[in-house]
Amino acid sequence: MSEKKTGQAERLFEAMSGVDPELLARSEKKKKVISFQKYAKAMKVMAACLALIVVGGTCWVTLQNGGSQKASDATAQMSATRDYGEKGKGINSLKGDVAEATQATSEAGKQYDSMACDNEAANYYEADDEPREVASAIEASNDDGKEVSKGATSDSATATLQEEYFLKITKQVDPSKLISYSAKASIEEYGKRSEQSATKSFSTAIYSWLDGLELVPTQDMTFGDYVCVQLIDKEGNVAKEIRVNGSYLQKTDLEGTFEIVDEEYDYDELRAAVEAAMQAEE
Amino acid sequence: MRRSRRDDVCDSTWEDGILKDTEILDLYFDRNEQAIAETQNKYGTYCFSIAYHILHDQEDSDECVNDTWMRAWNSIPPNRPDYLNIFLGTITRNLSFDRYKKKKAAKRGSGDLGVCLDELEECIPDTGSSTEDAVEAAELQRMINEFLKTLPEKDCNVFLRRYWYSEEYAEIADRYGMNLNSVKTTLFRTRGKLKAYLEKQGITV
Repeated sequence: MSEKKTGQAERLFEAMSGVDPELLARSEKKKKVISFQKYAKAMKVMAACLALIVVGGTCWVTLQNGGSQKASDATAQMSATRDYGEKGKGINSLKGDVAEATQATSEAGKQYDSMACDNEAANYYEADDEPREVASAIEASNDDGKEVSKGATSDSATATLQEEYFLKITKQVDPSKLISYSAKASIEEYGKRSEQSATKSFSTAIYSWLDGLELVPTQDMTFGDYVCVQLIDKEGNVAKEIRVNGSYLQKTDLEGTFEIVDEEYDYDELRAAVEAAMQAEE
Repeated sequence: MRRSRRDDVCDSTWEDGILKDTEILDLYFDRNEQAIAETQNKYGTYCFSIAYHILHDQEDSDECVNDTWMRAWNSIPPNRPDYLNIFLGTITRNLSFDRYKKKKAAKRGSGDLGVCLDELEECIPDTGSSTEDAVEAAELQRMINEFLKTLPEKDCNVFLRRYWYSEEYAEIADRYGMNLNSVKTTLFRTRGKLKAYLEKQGITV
Protein backbone atom coordinates (compact mmCIF):
# COMPACT_ATOMS: atom_id res chain seq x y z
CA MET A 1 0.00 0.00 0.00
CA SER A 2 1.31 3.42 -0.85
CA GLU A 3 2.15 5.92 1.84
CA LYS A 4 -0.34 8.31 0.31
CA LYS A 5 -3.17 5.79 0.54
CA THR A 6 -2.23 4.99 4.12
CA GLY A 7 -2.28 8.68 4.97
CA GLN A 8 -5.66 9.08 3.33
CA ALA A 9 -7.03 6.11 5.27
CA GLU A 10 -5.73 7.64 8.49
CA ARG A 11 -7.42 10.88 7.59
CA LEU A 12 -10.66 9.03 7.02
CA PHE A 13 -10.27 7.26 10.35
CA GLU A 14 -9.72 10.58 12.10
CA ALA A 15 -12.70 12.13 10.37
CA MET A 16 -14.85 9.36 11.84
CA SER A 17 -14.38 11.06 15.22
CA GLY A 18 -16.92 13.61 14.08
CA VAL A 19 -19.69 11.05 13.66
CA ASP A 20 -23.06 12.07 15.08
CA PRO A 21 -23.21 10.88 18.70
CA GLU A 22 -26.77 9.71 18.21
CA LEU A 23 -25.60 7.24 15.59
CA LEU A 24 -22.90 6.00 17.92
CA ALA A 25 -25.31 5.68 20.83
CA ARG A 26 -27.65 3.68 18.62
CA SER A 27 -24.84 1.29 17.74
CA GLU A 28 -24.25 0.57 21.42
CA LYS A 29 -27.44 -1.38 21.80
CA LYS A 30 -27.15 -5.10 21.43
CA LYS A 31 -29.91 -6.59 19.40
CA LYS A 32 -31.64 -9.81 20.10
CA VAL A 33 -31.94 -11.67 16.89
CA ILE A 34 -34.47 -14.27 16.12
CA SER A 35 -32.09 -16.81 14.76
CA PHE A 36 -32.88 -18.61 11.61
CA GLN A 37 -32.61 -21.85 13.54
CA LYS A 38 -35.48 -20.86 15.81
CA TYR A 39 -37.45 -19.63 12.83
CA ALA A 40 -36.87 -22.91 11.02
CA LYS A 41 -37.90 -24.84 14.13
CA ALA A 42 -41.13 -22.89 14.33
CA MET A 43 -41.77 -23.56 10.65
CA LYS A 44 -41.24 -27.28 11.20
CA VAL A 45 -43.73 -27.28 14.05
CA MET A 46 -46.25 -25.50 11.86
CA ALA A 47 -45.62 -27.95 9.04
CA ALA A 48 -46.16 -30.87 11.43
CA CYS A 49 -49.45 -29.38 12.64
CA LEU A 50 -50.57 -28.85 9.09
CA ALA A 51 -49.64 -32.41 8.22
CA LEU A 52 -51.73 -33.65 11.15
CA ILE A 53 -54.73 -31.71 9.92
CA VAL A 54 -54.27 -32.98 6.37
CA VAL A 55 -53.92 -36.56 7.51
CA GLY A 56 -56.89 -36.27 9.79
CA GLY A 57 -58.96 -34.84 6.99
CA THR A 58 -57.83 -37.56 4.60
CA CYS A 59 -58.69 -40.27 7.09
CA TRP A 60 -62.11 -38.83 7.58
CA VAL A 61 -62.70 -38.66 3.84
CA THR A 62 -61.54 -42.20 3.28
CA LEU A 63 -63.60 -43.49 6.13
CA GLN A 64 -66.53 -41.71 4.66
CA ASN A 65 -65.81 -43.26 1.29
CA GLY A 66 -64.84 -46.59 2.80
CA GLY A 67 -61.38 -46.52 1.07
CA SER A 68 -58.98 -48.34 3.36
CA GLN A 69 -56.08 -48.18 0.93
CA LYS A 70 -56.01 -44.40 0.95
CA ALA A 71 -56.04 -44.29 4.73
CA SER A 72 -53.01 -46.52 5.02
CA ASP A 73 -51.17 -44.44 2.46
CA ALA A 74 -51.88 -41.29 4.41
CA THR A 75 -50.67 -42.93 7.60
CA ALA A 76 -47.49 -44.07 5.88
CA GLN A 77 -46.87 -40.52 4.62
CA MET A 78 -47.34 -39.17 8.11
CA SER A 79 -44.87 -41.56 9.66
CA ALA A 80 -42.46 -40.79 6.86
CA THR A 81 -42.86 -37.10 7.57
CA ARG A 82 -42.21 -37.71 11.26
CA ASP A 83 -39.12 -39.72 10.46
CA TYR A 84 -37.96 -37.01 8.16
CA GLY A 85 -38.52 -34.36 10.78
CA GLU A 86 -35.95 -36.06 12.99
CA LYS A 87 -33.43 -36.10 10.19
CA GLY A 88 -34.23 -32.58 9.24
CA LYS A 89 -33.03 -31.30 12.60
CA GLY A 90 -29.54 -31.97 11.31
CA ILE A 91 -29.70 -28.97 9.01
CA ASN A 92 -29.44 -26.51 11.81
CA SER A 93 -26.82 -28.28 13.81
CA LEU A 94 -24.26 -28.54 11.09
CA LYS A 95 -21.54 -26.08 11.73
CA GLY A 96 -19.29 -26.60 8.77
CA ASP A 97 -17.68 -29.77 10.06
CA VAL A 98 -17.19 -31.65 6.82
CA ALA A 99 -16.63 -35.03 8.42
CA GLU A 100 -19.66 -34.72 10.65
CA ALA A 101 -21.89 -33.56 7.84
CA THR A 102 -20.66 -36.22 5.46
CA GLN A 103 -21.51 -38.91 8.00
CA ALA A 104 -24.96 -37.44 8.51
CA THR A 105 -25.39 -37.27 4.77
CA SER A 106 -24.56 -40.93 4.22
CA GLU A 107 -26.83 -42.05 7.08
CA ALA A 108 -29.80 -40.18 5.72
CA GLY A 109 -29.01 -41.15 2.16
CA LYS A 110 -29.43 -44.82 2.92
CA GLN A 111 -33.05 -44.32 3.78
CA TYR A 112 -34.36 -42.75 0.63
CA ASP A 113 -34.55 -43.44 -3.05
CA SER A 114 -32.57 -41.27 -5.37
CA MET A 115 -34.42 -38.47 -6.98
CA ALA A 116 -34.11 -35.53 -9.28
CA CYS A 117 -32.19 -32.59 -7.95
CA ASP A 118 -32.92 -29.91 -10.45
CA ASN A 119 -35.84 -27.65 -10.90
CA GLU A 120 -37.78 -30.33 -12.69
CA ALA A 121 -37.61 -32.36 -9.50
CA ALA A 122 -40.04 -29.93 -7.96
CA ASN A 123 -42.58 -31.12 -10.48
CA TYR A 124 -42.97 -34.16 -8.32
CA TYR A 125 -44.82 -32.03 -5.87
CA GLU A 126 -48.11 -31.80 -7.64
CA ALA A 127 -51.44 -31.23 -6.12
CA ASP A 128 -52.72 -34.73 -6.03
CA ASP A 129 -53.17 -37.24 -3.28
CA GLU A 130 -51.46 -40.14 -4.98
CA PRO A 131 -47.92 -40.78 -3.90
CA ARG A 132 -45.36 -40.17 -6.58
CA GLU A 133 -42.63 -42.52 -7.52
CA VAL A 134 -39.18 -41.10 -7.62
CA ALA A 135 -36.59 -41.48 -10.36
CA SER A 136 -32.88 -40.97 -10.21
CA ALA A 137 -31.58 -37.47 -10.71
CA ILE A 138 -30.04 -37.88 -14.11
CA GLU A 139 -32.85 -39.97 -15.51
CA ALA A 140 -35.56 -37.61 -14.33
CA SER A 141 -33.85 -34.63 -15.83
CA ASN A 142 -34.02 -36.23 -19.23
CA ASP A 143 -37.77 -36.43 -19.37
CA ASP A 144 -40.34 -33.74 -19.08
CA GLY A 145 -40.44 -34.05 -15.38
CA LYS A 146 -43.94 -35.42 -15.31
CA GLU A 147 -43.21 -39.11 -15.24
CA VAL A 148 -41.33 -40.65 -12.43
CA SER A 149 -40.95 -44.31 -12.88
CA LYS A 150 -37.41 -45.57 -13.01
CA GLY A 151 -35.88 -46.98 -9.95
CA ALA A 152 -39.16 -46.83 -8.09
CA THR A 153 -39.70 -49.09 -5.18
CA SER A 154 -42.70 -49.89 -3.14
CA ASP A 155 -41.46 -47.46 -0.51
CA SER A 156 -40.99 -44.59 -2.94
CA ALA A 157 -44.52 -43.41 -2.27
CA THR A 158 -43.63 -42.63 1.31
CA ALA A 159 -40.34 -41.13 0.23
CA THR A 160 -42.04 -38.32 -1.66
CA LEU A 161 -42.30 -36.02 1.29
CA GLN A 162 -39.18 -37.29 2.92
CA GLU A 163 -36.78 -36.60 0.13
CA GLU A 164 -33.66 -34.84 1.19
CA TYR A 165 -31.42 -32.77 -0.90
CA PHE A 166 -27.87 -32.82 0.07
CA LEU A 167 -26.25 -29.54 -0.46
CA LYS A 168 -22.57 -29.24 -0.52
CA ILE A 169 -21.61 -25.65 -0.07
CA THR A 170 -18.29 -24.88 -1.50
CA LYS A 171 -16.48 -21.68 -1.00
CA GLN A 172 -14.20 -21.35 -3.94
CA VAL A 173 -11.43 -18.96 -3.21
CA ASP A 174 -9.01 -20.51 -5.59
CA PRO A 175 -9.90 -23.29 -7.97
CA SER A 176 -7.09 -25.37 -6.55
CA LYS A 177 -8.22 -24.85 -3.00
CA LEU A 178 -11.75 -25.75 -2.10
CA ILE A 179 -13.22 -25.27 1.29
CA SER A 180 -16.20 -27.54 1.64
CA TYR A 181 -19.07 -27.77 4.04
CA SER A 182 -21.85 -30.27 3.95
CA ALA A 183 -25.37 -29.89 5.10
CA LYS A 184 -28.66 -31.59 4.78
CA ALA A 185 -31.54 -29.64 3.43
CA SER A 186 -35.13 -30.43 2.90
CA ILE A 187 -37.94 -29.09 0.87
CA GLU A 188 -40.50 -30.92 2.91
CA GLU A 189 -42.39 -27.79 3.66
CA TYR A 190 -42.90 -27.22 -0.01
CA GLY A 191 -44.95 -30.42 -0.04
CA LYS A 192 -47.31 -30.54 -2.92
CA ARG A 193 -47.27 -27.56 -5.15
CA SER A 194 -48.03 -26.80 -8.72
CA GLU A 195 -45.21 -27.05 -11.15
CA GLN A 196 -44.69 -23.34 -11.50
CA SER A 197 -44.60 -22.41 -7.86
CA ALA A 198 -42.66 -25.51 -6.88
CA THR A 199 -39.92 -24.57 -9.29
CA LYS A 200 -39.50 -21.17 -7.76
CA SER A 201 -39.80 -22.48 -4.25
CA PHE A 202 -37.12 -25.04 -4.88
CA SER A 203 -34.69 -22.36 -5.96
CA THR A 204 -35.60 -20.30 -2.96
CA ALA A 205 -35.13 -23.30 -0.73
CA ILE A 206 -31.54 -23.61 -1.81
CA TYR A 207 -30.76 -20.10 -0.76
CA SER A 208 -32.81 -20.36 2.39
CA TRP A 209 -30.84 -23.36 3.49
CA LEU A 210 -27.61 -21.71 2.59
CA ASP A 211 -28.84 -18.83 4.66
CA GLY A 212 -29.37 -21.05 7.66
CA LEU A 213 -25.91 -22.52 7.50
CA GLU A 214 -23.08 -21.14 9.53
CA LEU A 215 -20.06 -21.17 7.37
CA VAL A 216 -16.86 -21.25 9.33
CA PRO A 217 -14.26 -20.69 6.67
CA THR A 218 -10.70 -21.67 7.13
CA GLN A 219 -9.72 -18.72 5.02
CA ASP A 220 -11.17 -15.26 5.04
CA MET A 221 -14.18 -15.10 2.82
CA THR A 222 -14.54 -11.92 0.90
CA PHE A 223 -17.41 -10.43 -0.91
CA GLY A 224 -17.57 -11.34 -4.54
CA ASP A 225 -16.26 -14.85 -4.19
CA TYR A 226 -18.37 -17.48 -5.81
CA VAL A 227 -20.37 -19.88 -3.78
CA CYS A 228 -20.78 -23.21 -5.47
CA VAL A 229 -23.84 -25.20 -4.59
CA GLN A 230 -23.75 -28.85 -5.42
CA LEU A 231 -26.77 -31.05 -5.17
CA ILE A 232 -25.69 -34.53 -4.26
CA ASP A 233 -27.92 -37.56 -4.46
CA LYS A 234 -27.92 -40.30 -1.91
CA GLU A 235 -25.30 -42.20 -3.85
CA GLY A 236 -22.92 -39.35 -3.20
CA ASN A 237 -22.86 -38.31 -6.84
CA VAL A 238 -23.00 -34.68 -7.78
CA ALA A 239 -26.29 -34.38 -9.62
CA LYS A 240 -26.25 -30.68 -10.23
CA GLU A 241 -23.89 -27.85 -9.60
CA ILE A 242 -24.90 -24.24 -9.38
CA ARG A 243 -22.35 -21.52 -9.13
CA VAL A 244 -23.72 -18.28 -7.82
CA ASN A 245 -22.01 -15.04 -7.03
CA GLY A 246 -21.79 -14.71 -3.28
CA SER A 247 -23.31 -11.28 -3.33
CA TYR A 248 -26.72 -12.75 -3.88
CA LEU A 249 -26.62 -14.95 -0.86
CA GLN A 250 -27.38 -12.50 1.87
CA LYS A 251 -29.78 -12.62 4.70
CA THR A 252 -31.51 -10.14 6.84
CA ASP A 253 -30.68 -11.25 10.33
CA LEU A 254 -33.51 -9.60 12.20
CA GLU A 255 -36.24 -11.27 10.25
CA GLY A 256 -34.44 -14.57 9.97
CA THR A 257 -35.58 -14.91 6.39
CA PHE A 258 -33.81 -14.77 3.13
CA GLU A 259 -33.79 -11.35 1.55
CA ILE A 260 -31.88 -9.81 -1.25
CA VAL A 261 -30.22 -6.67 -0.06
CA ASP A 262 -28.29 -5.74 -3.15
CA GLU A 263 -30.13 -2.94 -4.95
CA GLU A 264 -28.72 -4.06 -8.24
CA TYR A 265 -29.90 -7.58 -7.75
CA ASP A 266 -32.64 -8.88 -9.96
CA TYR A 267 -34.17 -12.04 -8.55
CA ASP A 268 -35.78 -13.05 -11.83
CA GLU A 269 -32.48 -12.59 -13.59
CA LEU A 270 -30.74 -14.74 -11.03
CA ARG A 271 -33.35 -17.44 -11.16
CA ALA A 272 -33.06 -17.48 -14.95
CA ALA A 273 -29.29 -17.79 -14.66
CA VAL A 274 -29.60 -20.63 -12.17
CA GLU A 275 -32.10 -22.47 -14.34
CA ALA A 276 -29.93 -21.94 -17.42
CA ALA A 277 -26.96 -23.36 -15.56
CA MET A 278 -29.01 -26.35 -14.53
CA GLN A 279 -30.24 -26.96 -18.05
CA ALA A 280 -26.76 -26.57 -19.46
CA GLU A 281 -25.61 -29.42 -17.32
CA GLU A 282 -28.30 -31.78 -18.55
CA MET B 1 -43.98 14.91 29.78
CA ARG B 2 -42.40 13.34 26.76
CA ARG B 3 -38.96 12.01 27.53
CA SER B 4 -36.16 13.16 25.29
CA ARG B 5 -33.75 10.73 23.77
CA ARG B 6 -31.06 12.13 26.06
CA ASP B 7 -33.14 11.20 29.12
CA ASP B 8 -33.49 7.70 27.80
CA VAL B 9 -29.75 7.39 27.27
CA CYS B 10 -28.82 8.87 30.63
CA ASP B 11 -31.34 6.76 32.55
CA SER B 12 -30.52 3.66 30.64
CA THR B 13 -26.90 3.92 31.71
CA TRP B 14 -27.66 4.38 35.40
CA GLU B 15 -27.11 1.42 37.64
CA ASP B 16 -27.16 0.93 41.41
CA GLY B 17 -24.24 2.77 42.99
CA ILE B 18 -23.34 4.55 39.78
CA LEU B 19 -24.40 8.09 39.16
CA LYS B 20 -26.46 9.18 36.23
CA ASP B 21 -24.71 11.14 33.52
CA THR B 22 -26.54 14.30 34.51
CA GLU B 23 -25.30 13.93 38.07
CA ILE B 24 -21.74 13.37 36.94
CA LEU B 25 -21.92 16.43 34.72
CA ASP B 26 -23.21 18.43 37.67
CA LEU B 27 -20.08 17.45 39.58
CA TYR B 28 -17.95 18.73 36.72
CA PHE B 29 -19.82 22.00 36.67
CA ASP B 30 -19.40 22.28 40.46
CA ARG B 31 -15.66 21.64 39.90
CA ASN B 32 -15.93 18.75 42.31
CA GLU B 33 -13.03 16.38 41.72
CA GLN B 34 -15.31 13.50 42.62
CA ALA B 35 -16.50 13.87 39.02
CA ILE B 36 -13.32 12.20 37.78
CA ALA B 37 -13.71 9.27 40.16
CA GLU B 38 -17.33 8.81 39.17
CA THR B 39 -16.44 9.04 35.48
CA GLN B 40 -13.74 6.44 35.91
CA ASN B 41 -16.11 4.22 37.82
CA LYS B 42 -18.77 4.40 35.14
CA TYR B 43 -16.84 4.69 31.90
CA GLY B 44 -13.36 3.44 32.72
CA THR B 45 -13.90 0.07 31.09
CA TYR B 46 -15.68 1.62 28.13
CA CYS B 47 -12.86 4.06 27.38
CA PHE B 48 -10.19 1.47 28.01
CA SER B 49 -11.86 -0.82 25.50
CA ILE B 50 -11.77 1.88 22.84
CA ALA B 51 -8.12 2.62 23.54
CA TYR B 52 -7.11 -1.02 23.64
CA HIS B 53 -8.79 -1.79 20.32
CA ILE B 54 -6.54 0.83 18.74
CA LEU B 55 -3.32 0.37 20.68
CA HIS B 56 -3.37 -3.26 21.81
CA ASP B 57 -1.18 -2.29 24.71
CA GLN B 58 -2.32 -2.16 28.33
CA GLU B 59 0.03 0.58 29.52
CA ASP B 60 -0.55 2.86 26.58
CA SER B 61 -4.29 2.32 26.86
CA ASP B 62 -4.24 3.18 30.57
CA GLU B 63 -2.34 6.36 29.84
CA CYS B 64 -4.80 7.39 27.17
CA VAL B 65 -7.70 6.77 29.51
CA ASN B 66 -6.10 8.86 32.24
CA ASP B 67 -5.45 11.61 29.73
CA THR B 68 -9.09 11.39 28.78
CA TRP B 69 -10.20 12.28 32.32
CA MET B 70 -7.89 15.25 32.29
CA ARG B 71 -9.20 16.43 28.95
CA ALA B 72 -12.77 15.95 30.13
CA TRP B 73 -12.07 17.97 33.28
CA ASN B 74 -10.66 20.78 31.17
CA SER B 75 -13.52 20.82 28.69
CA ILE B 76 -16.51 20.36 31.01
CA PRO B 77 -17.63 23.11 31.44
CA PRO B 78 -18.36 24.82 29.12
CA ASN B 79 -19.29 21.66 27.22
CA ARG B 80 -22.24 19.72 28.55
CA PRO B 81 -22.44 16.73 26.20
CA ASP B 82 -25.75 15.02 25.55
CA TYR B 83 -24.00 11.68 25.39
CA LEU B 84 -21.26 11.65 28.00
CA ASN B 85 -20.04 8.18 27.04
CA ILE B 86 -19.65 9.16 23.39
CA PHE B 87 -17.97 12.43 24.38
CA LEU B 88 -15.42 10.60 26.51
CA GLY B 89 -15.04 7.83 23.97
CA THR B 90 -14.24 10.37 21.27
CA ILE B 91 -11.52 11.93 23.39
CA THR B 92 -10.07 8.52 24.10
CA ARG B 93 -10.24 7.55 20.45
CA ASN B 94 -8.44 10.68 19.32
CA LEU B 95 -5.76 10.35 21.97
CA SER B 96 -5.28 6.67 21.19
CA PHE B 97 -4.99 7.26 17.48
CA ASP B 98 -2.42 10.02 17.99
CA ARG B 99 -0.39 7.65 20.11
CA TYR B 100 -0.82 4.92 17.50
CA LYS B 101 0.59 7.19 14.80
CA LYS B 102 3.57 8.08 16.97
CA LYS B 103 4.27 4.44 17.69
CA LYS B 104 3.93 3.54 14.05
CA ALA B 105 6.37 6.32 13.12
CA ALA B 106 8.78 4.92 15.67
CA LYS B 107 8.08 1.45 14.25
CA ARG B 108 6.86 0.17 17.58
CA GLY B 109 3.82 -1.81 18.42
CA SER B 110 1.27 -3.62 16.31
CA GLY B 111 -2.35 -4.41 16.39
CA ASP B 112 -5.49 -4.84 14.50
CA LEU B 113 -5.86 -1.16 13.65
CA GLY B 114 -3.57 -1.62 10.66
CA VAL B 115 -6.15 -4.00 9.22
CA CYS B 116 -8.90 -1.43 9.81
CA LEU B 117 -6.87 1.21 8.01
CA ASP B 118 -6.16 -1.14 5.14
CA GLU B 119 -9.89 -1.70 4.81
CA LEU B 120 -10.56 2.02 4.88
CA GLU B 121 -8.19 2.45 1.94
CA GLU B 122 -10.90 0.80 -0.12
CA CYS B 123 -13.10 3.81 0.63
CA ILE B 124 -10.65 6.31 -0.81
CA PRO B 125 -12.24 7.75 -3.95
CA ASP B 126 -10.37 7.42 -7.20
CA THR B 127 -11.40 10.92 -8.25
CA GLY B 128 -9.08 13.84 -7.93
CA SER B 129 -5.43 14.30 -8.81
CA SER B 130 -2.46 14.51 -6.55
CA THR B 131 -2.33 18.26 -7.12
CA GLU B 132 -5.82 18.91 -5.79
CA ASP B 133 -6.21 19.98 -2.20
CA ALA B 134 -7.73 17.46 0.11
CA VAL B 135 -11.14 18.29 1.48
CA GLU B 136 -11.23 20.08 4.83
CA ALA B 137 -11.54 17.79 7.84
CA ALA B 138 -14.81 19.36 8.93
CA GLU B 139 -16.26 18.93 5.46
CA LEU B 140 -15.16 15.32 5.36
CA GLN B 141 -16.82 14.73 8.72
CA ARG B 142 -20.01 16.28 7.45
CA MET B 143 -19.99 14.06 4.38
CA ILE B 144 -19.35 10.95 6.41
CA ASN B 145 -22.30 11.81 8.65
CA GLU B 146 -24.51 12.40 5.65
CA PHE B 147 -23.42 9.11 4.19
CA LEU B 148 -24.04 7.20 7.42
CA LYS B 149 -27.56 8.55 7.60
CA THR B 150 -28.31 7.05 4.20
CA LEU B 151 -27.47 3.57 5.44
CA PRO B 152 -29.88 1.08 6.97
CA GLU B 153 -29.52 0.97 10.74
CA LYS B 154 -27.83 -2.40 10.78
CA ASP B 155 -25.23 -1.48 8.17
CA CYS B 156 -24.51 1.82 9.91
CA ASN B 157 -24.08 0.14 13.29
CA VAL B 158 -21.73 -2.49 11.94
CA PHE B 159 -19.70 0.16 10.11
CA LEU B 160 -19.34 2.26 13.25
CA ARG B 161 -18.41 -0.66 15.44
CA ARG B 162 -15.66 -1.53 13.02
CA TYR B 163 -14.25 1.86 12.07
CA TRP B 164 -15.11 3.99 15.08
CA TYR B 165 -14.74 1.49 17.90
CA SER B 166 -12.19 -0.61 15.94
CA GLU B 167 -13.91 -3.77 17.13
CA GLU B 168 -13.05 -7.09 15.59
CA TYR B 169 -15.42 -9.01 13.37
CA ALA B 170 -16.18 -11.61 16.02
CA GLU B 171 -17.11 -8.94 18.57
CA ILE B 172 -19.45 -7.26 16.14
CA ALA B 173 -21.02 -10.56 15.16
CA ASP B 174 -21.56 -11.41 18.82
CA ARG B 175 -23.04 -8.02 19.62
CA TYR B 176 -25.67 -8.15 16.91
CA GLY B 177 -26.21 -11.90 16.72
CA MET B 178 -24.86 -12.04 13.19
CA ASN B 179 -22.58 -14.60 11.67
CA LEU B 180 -19.04 -13.70 10.75
CA ASN B 181 -19.61 -13.84 7.05
CA SER B 182 -22.53 -11.45 7.26
CA VAL B 183 -20.41 -8.92 9.15
CA LYS B 184 -17.62 -9.07 6.61
CA THR B 185 -19.96 -8.85 3.68
CA THR B 186 -21.89 -5.96 5.22
CA LEU B 187 -18.67 -4.05 5.80
CA PHE B 188 -17.39 -4.76 2.30
CA ARG B 189 -20.58 -3.48 0.74
CA THR B 190 -20.69 -0.41 2.97
CA ARG B 191 -17.09 0.48 2.14
CA GLY B 192 -17.99 0.26 -1.52
CA LYS B 193 -20.96 2.53 -0.95
CA LEU B 194 -18.82 5.06 0.91
CA LYS B 195 -16.30 5.12 -1.87
CA ALA B 196 -19.05 5.63 -4.44
CA TYR B 197 -20.55 8.38 -2.29
CA LEU B 198 -17.24 10.24 -1.93
CA GLU B 199 -16.54 9.88 -5.64
CA LYS B 200 -19.94 11.29 -6.40
CA GLN B 201 -19.11 14.29 -4.22
CA GLY B 202 -15.93 14.66 -6.24
CA ILE B 203 -13.69 15.13 -3.24
CA THR B 204 -10.11 14.24 -2.54
CA VAL B 205 -9.37 12.80 0.87
